[in-house]
Amino acid sequence: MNDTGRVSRAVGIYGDMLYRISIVLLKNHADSEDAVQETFIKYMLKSPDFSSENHEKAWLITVCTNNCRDILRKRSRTAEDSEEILRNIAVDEESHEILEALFALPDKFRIVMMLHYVEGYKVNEIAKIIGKTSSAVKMRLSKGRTLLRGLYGKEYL
Amino acid sequence: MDKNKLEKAVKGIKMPEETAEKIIAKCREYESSAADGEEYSEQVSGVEKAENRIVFRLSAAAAALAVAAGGLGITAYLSRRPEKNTNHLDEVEVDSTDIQHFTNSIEITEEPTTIEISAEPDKYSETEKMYYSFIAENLIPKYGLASMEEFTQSESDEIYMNFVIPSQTLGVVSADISDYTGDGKEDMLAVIYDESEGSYDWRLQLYSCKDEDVYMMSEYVAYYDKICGFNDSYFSLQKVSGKLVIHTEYTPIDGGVSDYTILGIYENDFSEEVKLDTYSYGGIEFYMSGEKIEFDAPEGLTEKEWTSDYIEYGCAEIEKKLNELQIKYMSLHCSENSGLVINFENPEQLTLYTENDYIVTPDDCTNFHEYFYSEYKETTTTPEKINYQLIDFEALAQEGIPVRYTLSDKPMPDLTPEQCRLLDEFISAAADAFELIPAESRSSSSEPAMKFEAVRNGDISCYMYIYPDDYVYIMKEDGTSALYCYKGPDGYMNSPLRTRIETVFRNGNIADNAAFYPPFGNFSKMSSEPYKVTVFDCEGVIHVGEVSGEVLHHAFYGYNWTECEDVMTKTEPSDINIIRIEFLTIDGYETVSVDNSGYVTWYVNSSDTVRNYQLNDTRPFDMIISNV
Repeated sequence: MNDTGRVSRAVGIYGDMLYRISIVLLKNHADSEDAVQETFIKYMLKSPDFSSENHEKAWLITVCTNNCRDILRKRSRTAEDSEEILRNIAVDEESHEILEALFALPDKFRIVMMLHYVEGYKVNEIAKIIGKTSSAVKMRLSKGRTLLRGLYGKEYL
Repeated sequence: MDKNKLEKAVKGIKMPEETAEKIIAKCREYESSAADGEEYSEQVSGVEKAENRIVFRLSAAAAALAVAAGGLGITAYLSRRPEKNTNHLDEVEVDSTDIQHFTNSIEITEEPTTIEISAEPDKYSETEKMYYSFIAENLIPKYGLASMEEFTQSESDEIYMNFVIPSQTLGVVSADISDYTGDGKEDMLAVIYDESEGSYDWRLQLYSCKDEDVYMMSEYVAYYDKICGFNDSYFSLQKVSGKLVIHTEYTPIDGGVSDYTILGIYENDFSEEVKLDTYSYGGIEFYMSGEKIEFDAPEGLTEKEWTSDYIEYGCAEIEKKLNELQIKYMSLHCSENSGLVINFENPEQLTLYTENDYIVTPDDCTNFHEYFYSEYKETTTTPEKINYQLIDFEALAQEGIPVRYTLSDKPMPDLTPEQCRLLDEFISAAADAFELIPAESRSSSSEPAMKFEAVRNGDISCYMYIYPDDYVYIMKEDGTSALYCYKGPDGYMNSPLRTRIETVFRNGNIADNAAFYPPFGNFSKMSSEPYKVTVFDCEGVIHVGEVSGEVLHHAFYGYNWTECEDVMTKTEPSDINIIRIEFLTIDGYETVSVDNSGYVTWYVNSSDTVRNYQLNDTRPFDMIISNV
């Protein structure tokens, strides 16, 4: 398979996941597009030999979240109006409410919540992906849950 | 509402089709330009270019290649990266033949081998080449290469490396070439993940070179004791203002241990300047994850980045600041020998800062502790609940099947039926604390410390082996086998199974009172009550002592004598095991140590022996800790 073919396959499998990670972290469509594009370019140019699909997926998430962090640091664009972006991505009213609460969390809580509750990663796996200790991830999850519960105003998680 | 709703909401987010098309088109563009002879990497926007610091890493694949071929095997990848931002590694693949012209001493012994490097090979200095050769010729053959799959980048600018340990393979992890000694010449800091009998070791080795010789100037070893449940560990190394800051952490089930060490380099030697330990056995004293402590000062929260402050101001200044802020701390030791050690008086008076802006309050600590347990259950693989008789030694004994007992290769008399009964009783009492684990999880290659073997018709028909790190291997008569991990009655505690069983079977005798010390379940709780320690022997109570200060934390250890020679004054055979209970009090440490040759020693701060007792004989003892 040529490089483009390899990327096409990966975009098909992981594109949505990386995009939703980016959009939840960056809250901006253009930035998210940049983050995902940069991820796949690095995938084409620099990815190691993956030992498994899980390895490949984790690598992509790590690169993508690093890209998002870079974008946040260097940000020239401001985050879009949350309401506008929520309108574009939420599939229904309930999702809108949940995403609104999720968007209101600080960055670091959003990513661990995403990886744990949406992507199904275990704490120690998240720790590896984001380069934090498992304890730190646990605390972020705990705190994130509490915050989300407060923001959403309903029993949650 | 449950987590499925969050999942549904987020998974409803889809990448627009045009975005996917754009990405693929972009990649196609790159690919076609590469076909025209251009380098991909030159076109990647935002990827930082090489600076003048070099960090290289090594991959296991290349090491295996090199070692298998008996060659020198340069690293699988070398990468330059800028000092201030390690989030990007600018790597350009070059063919192995390209590398040879800048380092003649490194032979590529098997094709294809690729080396990823971001800078022109010619830019490597002679010194760098020497170091690379040294790694290839000396360090890799000696230690191997660690897998880089576990490497995780950090958002912190000056992170040098950052590992979550469990599946980390051993070997050379990384090396950094820069001037560590301040003499204007390039030194090399090599970091090696190594293993010794009782611990996993992070070796920091500082090398210099003269003429064509590379030699080690100093080595610092940060180690973790091997304990059952060593499942969640972490190591990071940063350079902060010219100092090395090590953060190590491991989390046995009942809490966590996290410590920070600042190393300076003076006179070509590592110097441990600061060590801050945090621990959370039982009721958490406090927990820290990060380099900052936020003090809950009377005038409000005041954030202190203690590592930087220490580096900038020194020990005395830290003390002064703590006092200015009216931070209550239990003790602050500041000396050339011990560096800075702060023991905070009470978590109620302290708010800890963990990650950028998340403040840990005492309530959080409690919540965290509870959460830790629940989370652990979610994240730990526990294939099945153990509810079994490992091996029914008593039944075998009743059948007339002899049960051999071997302690550290020293055969003991066969167990009597009564001894078998007691062994079964102990094992079944502890059975809840066993966890079946996959055989490949066994991490130690050491020999069994204890063997119990049943002999039927002259052959060993079944056996139970207990390893020093509390793994238990069972082979039943029906041919089935299993590997278990002993995690203690309240989770993974430092309460070695082996030591406990040895207490029962020491010298082939059985303690009359096999109620092990301390009582299960009560040991790890903090208490402000004074503690007393009572030691019994066959003649009755021989010693009662009270810990003099308020106990903040205490821990139990079983040690081999040789490990404690430096703090004990007696000379005894090296195979004697001792039991040590350590109390952290407001005034320091008090430790009660009992060994099976009849000595009871009570000492403070590991050096001042305050009491010595001699048991009446060397029969087994029992030791009870209780509140006064």
